[in-house]
Amino acid sequence: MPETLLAVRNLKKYFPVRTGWLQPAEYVRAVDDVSFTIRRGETLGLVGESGSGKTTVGRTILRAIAPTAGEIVITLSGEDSIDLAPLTRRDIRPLRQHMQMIFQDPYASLSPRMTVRDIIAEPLVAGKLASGDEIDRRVRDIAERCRLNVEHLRRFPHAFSGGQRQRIGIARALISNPSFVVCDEPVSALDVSIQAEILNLLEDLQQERGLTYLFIAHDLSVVEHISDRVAVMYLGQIVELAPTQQIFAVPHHPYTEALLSSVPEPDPHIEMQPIPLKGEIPNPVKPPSGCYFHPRCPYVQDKCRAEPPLLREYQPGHFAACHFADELQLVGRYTPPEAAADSPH
Amino acid sequence: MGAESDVLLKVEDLRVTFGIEKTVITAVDGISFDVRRGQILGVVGESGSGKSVTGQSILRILPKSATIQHGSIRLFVDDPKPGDPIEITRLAPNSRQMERLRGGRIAMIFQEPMASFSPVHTIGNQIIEAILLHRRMSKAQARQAAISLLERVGIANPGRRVDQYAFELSGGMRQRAMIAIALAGQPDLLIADEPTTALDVTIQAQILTLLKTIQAETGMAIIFITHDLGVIAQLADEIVVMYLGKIVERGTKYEIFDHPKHPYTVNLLDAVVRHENRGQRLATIPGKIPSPYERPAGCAFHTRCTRKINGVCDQALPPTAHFSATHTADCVLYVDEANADA
Repeated sequence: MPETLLAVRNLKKYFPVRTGWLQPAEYVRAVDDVSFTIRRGETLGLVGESGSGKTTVGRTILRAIAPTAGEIVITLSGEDSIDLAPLTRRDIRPLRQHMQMIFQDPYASLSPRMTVRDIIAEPLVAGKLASGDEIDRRVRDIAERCRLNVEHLRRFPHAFSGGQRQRIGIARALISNPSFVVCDEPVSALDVSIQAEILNLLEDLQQERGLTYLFIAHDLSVVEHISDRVAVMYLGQIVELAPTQQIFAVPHHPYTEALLSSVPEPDPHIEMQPIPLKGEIPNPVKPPSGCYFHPRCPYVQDKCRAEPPLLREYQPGHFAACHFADELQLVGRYTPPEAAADSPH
Repeated sequence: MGAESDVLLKVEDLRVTFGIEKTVITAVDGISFDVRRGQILGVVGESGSGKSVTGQSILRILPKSATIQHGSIRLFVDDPKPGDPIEITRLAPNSRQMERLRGGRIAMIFQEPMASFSPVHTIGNQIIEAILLHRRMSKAQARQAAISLLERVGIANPGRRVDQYAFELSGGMRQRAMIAIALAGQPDLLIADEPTTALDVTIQAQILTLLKTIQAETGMAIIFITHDLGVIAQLADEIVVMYLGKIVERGTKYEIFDHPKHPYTVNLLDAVVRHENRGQRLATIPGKIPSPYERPAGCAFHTRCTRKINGVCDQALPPTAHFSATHTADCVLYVDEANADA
């Protein structure tokens, strides 16, 4: 089994919210005790709806924001493990080159006055990792690899299409030769044909460079395509984590089942039959008692209202946080792999 | 295509251009299609295909820089006079008649519902206003109608929600409230421009189910504009595929998904991420969408088409090939079918 690159243990990120004058502060539990590992060279998909905390997990792991509690242990090859959680900004700086992020729109956060060359070069310049001609050489190399036209490096980002911009974002993320990349909705703003190009590029780069991805997305088809394993988040917690084919074929959590049932298949012969969930995602300041999902769960029982379920392993590598994961026969998107193998040829 | 009397909206040879800094860009390039009563017509295309401009043309809510160069958009309703279609292209965008059509006969929902609500009026007042604009009833009756509309679109506690503001609602609720406003005038045609693109999948599924249910109950027609082929496969009866301002193929959803003909449609469907091609490279479309300033001569897709015939596709507009009463593609590969029809 390949070694672990990243181990996240009991990660919490609470954001304070003021409810009123002289009222005690309350907290949004954006990430509420999350643990998982990512193996070297693996892609872990992280799915969930708005407010599930998936983006906060990605940002906290890269220490773009500081965690409230927990450990974020990264083991770079040939080096000792480091817990990023307690590090100061200054301590983290030399580690940044190893962990990078690809955003949905890389330009939302960048100066429109920077040329593409400067945008891509920024991690090298900021980390003082190269200087002079070497910067230019590396910018050209990575830009070429991401199939950007090197003639256009002196242009400004606004002149580029969505797909080109994403290539620039990828080039920027990879120029410092990171081991670990958090991809936060990297293809959700793109057209179908461009999306396919970017997904292919991300997979090629992973193979060539042995990259490890945390792939955050709300599009389950995309996550299924690219991920080795998938974690499903709901209200700041991981409710299920399993190898991709397992989770899509035999989900063990009712929320995962509902999510899968809501995916519109690009096939008119397969009619979508979404499982209706009651109400909406609750206020994360006051999460429900017991299982956070119980007010919306179609299979809710008394125990669910009283006791929070633990994330337990039901099959090798298949974890779910549901009191009744064993008893419920939940329906996935596809026939389970073993059942398909058993069927007569 | 069904009986002619089924036709609710007939778009013929519509051409829309944008004037940008002394240059004229063609956004919609001579498209024709019918929308039949009770039908959900899916309009699929990528950025720059002209799909949204098509929707905006029907409602005459195009940006100021846009001009309808020629073509006709006729709405077949027995109002003001039976049997006489309304020629929408002849109405001034801000004319009384156009304003009555908008939100009355034809309603629209968008991707971002927040933009279509007033921040200073309650949801209820905006629905009531829409109702009173298009239907004769007292204010108290209109309020009751607003509450039942909110209930109809699946908003819990409609009696309380009616007095809330848009910012107090979640994204999914806002989208439902926008649908309620759209339904207030009891439209014959609803234009839905990417209404679920910004929503989470469970909410998207609920909104799609809601639109289907309402469509079945009221018999209104829907033009559903999207880039999402999953959504279109689930919702549409018929589909038109647009590329660079042209309709390149049309057919029932089964014809389009099971037997795509136009190379662009074939490529587009191949590029969709599917369970079956997990672990494989995704198919892509070679090249890039040409800049709107450099529209290719001949077939708009020829610069990217793997089946291009030199000297043909880059010269002349492709003929329309008919594969069935409902299925056509504009491509020279099917020139025999095209001739057979002529």
